[in-house]
Amino acid sequence: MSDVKRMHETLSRALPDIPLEVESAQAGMSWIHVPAEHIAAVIGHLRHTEGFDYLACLTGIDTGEELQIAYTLRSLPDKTECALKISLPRDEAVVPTISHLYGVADWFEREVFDLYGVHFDGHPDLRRIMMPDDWEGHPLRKDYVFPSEYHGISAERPDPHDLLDPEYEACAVDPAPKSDSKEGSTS
Amino acid sequence: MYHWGEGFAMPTKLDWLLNTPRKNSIWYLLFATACCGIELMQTGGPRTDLDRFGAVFRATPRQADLLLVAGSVTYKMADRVRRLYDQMPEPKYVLAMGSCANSGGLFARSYSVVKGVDKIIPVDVYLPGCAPRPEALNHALLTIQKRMMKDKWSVRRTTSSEKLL
Amino acid sequence: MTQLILEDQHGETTMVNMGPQHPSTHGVINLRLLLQGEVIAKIDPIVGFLHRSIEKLGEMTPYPGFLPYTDRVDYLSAMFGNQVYCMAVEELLGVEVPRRAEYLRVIACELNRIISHLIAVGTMAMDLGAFTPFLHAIRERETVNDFMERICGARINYSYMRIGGVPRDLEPGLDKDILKFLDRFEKFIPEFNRLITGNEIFVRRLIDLAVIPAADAISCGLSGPNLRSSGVDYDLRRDRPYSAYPEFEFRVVTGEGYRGQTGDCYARYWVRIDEMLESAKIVRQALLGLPEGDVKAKVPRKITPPKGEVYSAVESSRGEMGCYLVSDGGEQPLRVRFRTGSFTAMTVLPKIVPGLMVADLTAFFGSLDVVAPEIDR
Repeated sequence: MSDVKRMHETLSRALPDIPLEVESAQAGMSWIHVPAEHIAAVIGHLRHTEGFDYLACLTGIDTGEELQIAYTLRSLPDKTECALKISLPRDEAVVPTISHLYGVADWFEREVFDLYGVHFDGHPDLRRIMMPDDWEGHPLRKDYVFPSEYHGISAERPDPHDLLDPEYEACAVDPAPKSDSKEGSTS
Repeated sequence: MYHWGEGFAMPTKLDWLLNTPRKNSIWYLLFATACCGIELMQTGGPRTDLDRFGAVFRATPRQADLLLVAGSVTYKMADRVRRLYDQMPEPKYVLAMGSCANSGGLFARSYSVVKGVDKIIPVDVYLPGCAPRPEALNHALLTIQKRMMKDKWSVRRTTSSEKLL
Repeated sequence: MTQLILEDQHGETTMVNMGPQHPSTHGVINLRLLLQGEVIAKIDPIVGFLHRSIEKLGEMTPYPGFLPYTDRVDYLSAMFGNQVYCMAVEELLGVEVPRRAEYLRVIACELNRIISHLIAVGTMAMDLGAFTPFLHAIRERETVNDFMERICGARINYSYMRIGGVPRDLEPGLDKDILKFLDRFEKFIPEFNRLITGNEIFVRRLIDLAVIPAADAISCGLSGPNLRSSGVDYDLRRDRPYSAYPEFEFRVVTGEGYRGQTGDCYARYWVRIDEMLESAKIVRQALLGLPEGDVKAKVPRKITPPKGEVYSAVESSRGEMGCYLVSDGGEQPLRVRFRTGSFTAMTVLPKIVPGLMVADLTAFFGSLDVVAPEIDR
């Protein structure tokens, strides 16, 4: 808590042109809200001047109204943490990349691109990472519709409870072990 | 010694001759996709030693008799599973190990997991459990052996995986 | 694929697909290699073959019901998945876990770390062609599996912890059995070392191979044993304290490079061997100093945490396992995200691998100890 507030003061002094706010919810941690277009500048400053040398986590969040990206930075020598967050519109989500600052951000951003459809400006190799290349849609968005088939493999499977229903025809078939033993005896 | 019984017919003897060595040297493909793969490793370990059934793991499908699908299969992986199956020489058997391979299991509501590996390749034995214990895997292997003894030499038992689609 | 070949026009190049079905990729991972002779010029790791959408399922499942899925994030160290998720929800709820439950969690986690590292060193030796150490490691693992079964009833996917504590106490007599095992285990490690760790062929194969400098390790977000073997003295158990870890004495093992250099494959192997002994030490302390009391805090049956976000992290056997949990006040999380050690460990491949031989890649990849579901989730 105090880490974030202290870092907010330091950042506001160093980068006076960028509007930064400390936000928090009813429970949990607080974070610094950064305008999306300035995120690379802010993180660059934290990385080079404040010694936040470790990107612990980068994640996308879909709240239903907007997309958010949360950055969790850490300084290994000082053992401090700083959480940053940006908000993006759902239809045109474009963010400057931070893959030149942290090596690991490369894959983290690819994952957010794959699962949320956020476009990272300046990323060297932005392509799908989890899903196949010909996959449609971005699965972790709230309005994502689950596919009914992929490459001819249907996603349907009958509910076993239906099969247990006495009125269901399939139950009339003989149980498997009996028919097996019959085959065995005739051969 | 094997008791031949009275009035056995020639085909039975040939079947027996072909199937007995086959059943006692099941070489399975080491195809560990998820959690069940660890149980598969431990089944091959010292306590429940699969070697005593003549079952040895192979790393290549060209030398394997049994495709042991240990774990969930995703859509991205589905084509590869099918190809591995097609690369195996006849006669080949498939053991779906664990709930994920049987029906999708815990991940049946997922958008990326194939709901049962029998949608891609024909399955001989389904082994339930998440993950099945090594003892259960042993039992499944014995079930496969029983099944092998029923094979007839004149019947080509499996077909290409494409027929399923 | 064609793009890669076009990029490299000097000399003869070969494109090789290693995986997704390959015995030394430790699961379904595809490494696309561009080779010049036997030397790797470029590597493109393709992951996602085991993307089971655990994070989406988390958004579709009520809080307590999501617990079994956290096992499957990393099946080799399922306790840590349980713990990181429970810690996140507890922090949002403001629940304090009883001290006895914290001790039981530590015991379970450290036992899990031991058996996970056993698999890691065993399979690494197997990748290099030594099959016997693997069998020895599995033998010890089976003993701990029995303890795990007595603790929680499962061998792999434990689902041991609950939000607010653990569901049941240790069964009587189990602590004595575990202590007896630890006595034996501390003798097993020197035996294992005589078998493989000190083997000159094995050592020569690994020293000075694929050195990860500390700067690269930090930038690529390596964590856990991989980070420490590069000489970075950082352990979440000590530096971002959680659970009951501040009450125990243990040494944070770093790769000193007493054979070869700091950060090479042998250092990564050695850190794991040494960490098992440290874990055994922690389990012993926890068992001997087990406090009395409840094992589960009072938690409402229907869990609805207040609005908020939290990032909790634990030191898993493969590095930092973090859970970013967002609650909107409902019965289901708005977002669950797992940050895992294997995912970040994969990002170091394109930096380190070019210039290695193909045979050395299996040694390097084995030393990183990644598991596929943790990368893909």
